[in-house]
Amino acid sequence: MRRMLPTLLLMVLATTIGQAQTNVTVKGYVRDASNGETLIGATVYLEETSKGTVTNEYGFYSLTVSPGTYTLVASYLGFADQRQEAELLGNATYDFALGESGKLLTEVIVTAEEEDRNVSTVQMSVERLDMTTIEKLPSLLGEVDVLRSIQLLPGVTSVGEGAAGFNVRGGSIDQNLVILDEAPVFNSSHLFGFFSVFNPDAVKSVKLYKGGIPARYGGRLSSILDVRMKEGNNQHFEVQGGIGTIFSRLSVEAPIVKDRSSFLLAGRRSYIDVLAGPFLNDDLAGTKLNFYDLTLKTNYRFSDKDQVFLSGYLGRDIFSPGDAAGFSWGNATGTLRWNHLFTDKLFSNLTFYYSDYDYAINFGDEPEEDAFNWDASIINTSVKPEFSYFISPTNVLRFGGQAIHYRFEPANAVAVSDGDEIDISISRQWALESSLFVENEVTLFDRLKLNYGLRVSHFAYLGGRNVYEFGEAPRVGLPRPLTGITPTDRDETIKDWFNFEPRAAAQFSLNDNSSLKASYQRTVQYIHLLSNTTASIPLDIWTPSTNNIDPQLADQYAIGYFRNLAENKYELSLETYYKDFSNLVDYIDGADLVLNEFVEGQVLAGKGRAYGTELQLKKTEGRASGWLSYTLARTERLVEGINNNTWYPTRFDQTHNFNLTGFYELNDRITLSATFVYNTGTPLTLANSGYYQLGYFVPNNAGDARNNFRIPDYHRLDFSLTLDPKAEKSDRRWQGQWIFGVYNLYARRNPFTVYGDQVDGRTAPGAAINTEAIKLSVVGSIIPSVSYNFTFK
Amino acid sequence: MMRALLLILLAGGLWTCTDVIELETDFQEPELVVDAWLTDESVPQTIRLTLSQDYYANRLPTGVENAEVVVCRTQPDTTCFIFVHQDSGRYVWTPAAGEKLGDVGQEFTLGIRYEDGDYVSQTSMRRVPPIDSISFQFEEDQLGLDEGLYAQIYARDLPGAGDAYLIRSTINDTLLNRPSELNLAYDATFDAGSGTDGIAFIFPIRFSINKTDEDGAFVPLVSGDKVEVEIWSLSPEAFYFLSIARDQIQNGDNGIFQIPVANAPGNVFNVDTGEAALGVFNVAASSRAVRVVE
Repeated sequence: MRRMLPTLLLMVLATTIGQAQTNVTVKGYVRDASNGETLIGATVYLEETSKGTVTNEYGFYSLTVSPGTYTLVASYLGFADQRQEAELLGNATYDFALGESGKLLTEVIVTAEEEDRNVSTVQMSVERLDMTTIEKLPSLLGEVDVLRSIQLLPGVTSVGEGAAGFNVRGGSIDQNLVILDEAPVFNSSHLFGFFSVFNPDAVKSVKLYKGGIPARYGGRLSSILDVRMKEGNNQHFEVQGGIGTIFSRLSVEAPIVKDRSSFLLAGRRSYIDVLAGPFLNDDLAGTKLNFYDLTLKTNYRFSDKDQVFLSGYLGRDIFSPGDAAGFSWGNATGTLRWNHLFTDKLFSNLTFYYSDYDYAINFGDEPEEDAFNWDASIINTSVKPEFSYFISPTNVLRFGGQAIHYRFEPANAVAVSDGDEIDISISRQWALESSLFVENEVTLFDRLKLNYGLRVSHFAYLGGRNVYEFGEAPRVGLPRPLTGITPTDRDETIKDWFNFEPRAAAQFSLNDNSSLKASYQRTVQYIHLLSNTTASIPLDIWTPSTNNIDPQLADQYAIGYFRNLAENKYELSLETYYKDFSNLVDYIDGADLVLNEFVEGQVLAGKGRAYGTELQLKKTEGRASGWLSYTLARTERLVEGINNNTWYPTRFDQTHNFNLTGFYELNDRITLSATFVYNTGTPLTLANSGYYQLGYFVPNNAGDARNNFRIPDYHRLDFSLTLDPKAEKSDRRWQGQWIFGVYNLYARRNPFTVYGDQVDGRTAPGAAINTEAIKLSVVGSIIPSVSYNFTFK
Repeated sequence: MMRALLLILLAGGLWTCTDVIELETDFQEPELVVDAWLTDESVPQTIRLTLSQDYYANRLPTGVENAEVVVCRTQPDTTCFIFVHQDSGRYVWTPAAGEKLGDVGQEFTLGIRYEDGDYVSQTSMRRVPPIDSISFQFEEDQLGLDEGLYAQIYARDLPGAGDAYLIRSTINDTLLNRPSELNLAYDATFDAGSGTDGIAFIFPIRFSINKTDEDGAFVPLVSGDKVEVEIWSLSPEAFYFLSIARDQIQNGDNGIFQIPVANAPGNVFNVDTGEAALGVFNVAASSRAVRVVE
C-alpha cells in the first residue's frame, strides 16, 4: 500500500507534463439567473471540441484548452443552455447565469446533470436527489423529507418506519456520515425517526455516496450523505413558507449586496402542542411537545477570487409532561468556508466547522428531595483545507486534509435521593482524528476514466481520564471484569492508530450510451454509536475508539453496467457489490449501555459481510417520469459468543427491496406522484421457550440462534397530488401550491416488530402465566394530509 | 431508564397499533429449571425443579419429581439441609422452631441429582439494609398518575459498592407480580455501573411498591389497605440474572425501542459438562416492614 503514493504522483506528473505550455484556462461560475444560486454539477463545454467539465460544489469550473475561438456552452437539466462566444487567447473568466427552460417538462429530475452522466462519469454507487424531486414525492403527513426520500433508492434500507437513521449496503446507522454544509449531524431525526432535521426550504442538493467514495471523504464505513444548503437569493427578496400537518415553515432570503452577498434564514416548528393546548386538562397543562429547527446561511463575494460562506443549523426536540420531567435533544452546527482561487486552475476551499449533538433529561418536581439530571454531548471542531487543481479537461487533482477534535461527554449526571445528592457522571473522552488525501481524476485513451486516491488517517485517543483494562469474561456472553485502572493526563495519548485508505474507481465506455464501471474503497471509522435497541434512541451515546474498542474497517468492491436508452431519456444501472467489515461493534446479551462507566467491558468486536445487486431504471424526461429500483442483498455478522459463533443476518437485512416511484404531469398545474415500496421482512430473535422463576415467566432463546425469525413482508403505496398556481398567475408576487397526500393508501398494518409478551393481568399464586405473540405496527392506518406552500417575491 | 422514558415515548406512538398473532416456535427440548430463592427466615424453604416449556404453551410447568436436593452451609461450618419432594417439583426444607439456613456472610452450596446429571451452585448470603419506614404520601393529579395516597419504602443502601436487592411488595395479601412490578435495586439505583452508593433508594424504586393496574398505571391506596414490603439481598449473579430477566419481561413496553432477546444467565451448573441449567440459587438476608393505611 505504501508503494501506491509514488505511483500516484508519477501518473499525475506524467499527465501534467503532457500539457503544452501555451494552453489557456477559462474559468468561472455557473448560476441560476433567477436567484443567483450556484449550480452544482452543471456542464460547461466547448462546442467545437466537445471537451468539457462540470461545476464543483461551489458552482466553479475551470477548463484548460489550446488557444482559439470557441463557443462555450453551459447546460443544466431544467435550464436553457447558454452559449457565449469566447476568443481564448489568454486566461479568461466567463460566468453563466442560466434561465429556466420555457417548457418545464423536465421539472422533475432524478439526476440534474449532464444528460449522460449515468454512463459517462467515473463515479458509481452515487445517488443524487434534486430538491424538486424530493418535494414532489408522496410523504408522511405531507412533510417533505430528505431522509425518507433516500430510502426509495436502491441499497438503502431501514429497520422500520419511524426508526432513526438508515442503512446503506449492510452498514449500521452510525456508519453514515451525514453532513450539512460539511458539519456532521449526529442525529438526523425529529420525533425519534419520523421526520428528518433538514428543512427542505434551505436545502440545495443531496448526494449519497454508497460506494466508490472519493478519497476526500472519510470517517465512516458505509456512506456519505452530503447535504448542501442554499446560499440565499442574491437577486431579490423572497419568502417561502408552508403550513403542513406537523410543521409550519418560513424562510426568508434576500440579497445583502446584490450579486455579491445574500442570506437565507429558514425555520420550522411543529405545533401539535399549540393545537392541543386548549384541550389539555389541568394535569397536562404544562406539557411541552415540540420540535423546531433554524437554518441560517450567508455569503459574501469579495472578488472573483474570494468568497466566504457562513452557515449554521440549530434544531431541538423538546418533550416535557409537566414540571416533573423533561427531555430534549438536538444538533447545533456552524460552518465557515472560504473559497479562494490561487490561479485560474487552482481552486481551494478552507472549512472550519463546529458540531454539537446533545441531550438533556431531568426528573423530579422537588429537586432538593428527589431528582435526576443528566445531560450528554458530543462536540467536534474541525479544520479542513481542500484544493482542486484543474490540470486539463481530462485531469483533475484534488488534495487536502482534515483535523477533527472530539470531546465526548457521555453523562454529566446527578441523582438526588431523599435529599442526598450523588454525582453519577461518566468520564469524558477526547480524541483527535487527522487525515490527508490526494485524489486524481484522469481520462486515458478517451474511453477510460480513473479516479484513484489515497486517504491516510490517524486517530489519537487522548488522555485526561482513567483508562480501564478488562480481563477475560468468566463465561462467553458475560461482562468482562475490570482488572486495571490507570489515570492519564490531558497531554498523553492513550492509544493511536494509523490507517491507509486506498480508493479507486474506473469507467470504461463501451460506446456513447453504455459503460462499465468498477470501484474499490477502504474506509475506516474511529467513532462508534453504542446502541442495541431496534430503533436507535436519542439517548444513545457515541464513543471513540479506545484501548478496548478498535476502529472499524471495511473494504468494498463494486462493479456495474450503465446504459442510457432513447437519447438519455432512460437510464439503466446495474451494480453488484461485496463488502467486508472488521471490528464491528456488538454487545453481550443484556448489555447495559446507558449510564455505565464500564461499558467497554460489554462491547464485542465482530466481522461482517454484505453483498448484493442493485438494479435501477430511471426515466428522466417527459410527462411521465420516475424510477424503479430493485435490490437483492444479504448482510451478515459473525461475532464470537453470538449465534453459536456462526454467521447471522443483521436486524436490517432485507433479501428483496423493490421501489417504484412515478410522477405524471397531468397538465400545467397538476402533478401526480406515487410510490410503491416492497421489502422482505427483517429478521429478529424471538424467545422460543420460557420458564418459571420467582413467580415470573422468563423468556428464553434455547439454541441461542440470533435473528432466526423474519417478520412479515412490508409493502405500502403512497400517493400525492400537487396543485401549482395557474400559469397566467405566474407573474404574481404571491404563489401558492397545494399538496394533497395519502400515505399507506390501502391501510396495511405493516409490522415493525413481532415479540412475545406476558398477557397483562395479575396471576394468582399457583396459576399459569399466559403469554401471547404481538405484532407491532407503527403506522396502522391510512394517513391523509394536506399542506399548503407559498412563495412571495 | 427505559421505563422512565415511557411517558415520553408515548408521543412517538401516535399511530402505533398492536395485533395478537399466532406464532409457532422451534422449541423442542425441555431443560431443567432450578427456582431456588431461599431466605434467612425461619420458615419452610422451597426449591422448585421444573422443565422449560414452549414460550406460548400457556400452562403451569412440568415438575421434576425424582431428584435429590440438598443445600449445605459450607462456611463457617458444614451443615446440610435436605429438601424433600412434596408435590409437582416442589422440594421443601422445614426448619425446627428458630432454626434457619444461616446468616449474612456465610456460604452455601446447592446440590441436585437429577436423572444422570449432578448439578451444583455456590453462593453467599449478602447483607441487607433495614427498612426505615413505609410512608404514605398524597400525590396530586399528574400525567400518568391519578390523585391519591401512595406508599413509598424508605431504606438506605449500605455503604460500599456492589449491594443488590430485590424489593417485594404485598398489598392486602396480594404479592405484586406483574412484569412491571419486578423491583430491583443495585446500590440504590436500577443498574450496576452508575456509581451511586450509600444513599436512600431512588424515588422510582421507592415508589414501585405500589400496585399497578392493567395499563401499568399506579393504583392509589385506600383506607385499610395493608402494605407489606420485604427486601432480599442478592448475590451479583442473582442480580445479573434478574436484571436481564426484568429487561426482557418488560421489553414489550418499549415499542420500537425494544432491546434484543437475551438469555438471563443462571448460576447452577452441571458438574460434568459445565453447562448452566436455567434459573438461580440465591440465599437472601431479608428485612421486612408492614403498615396499614388509616
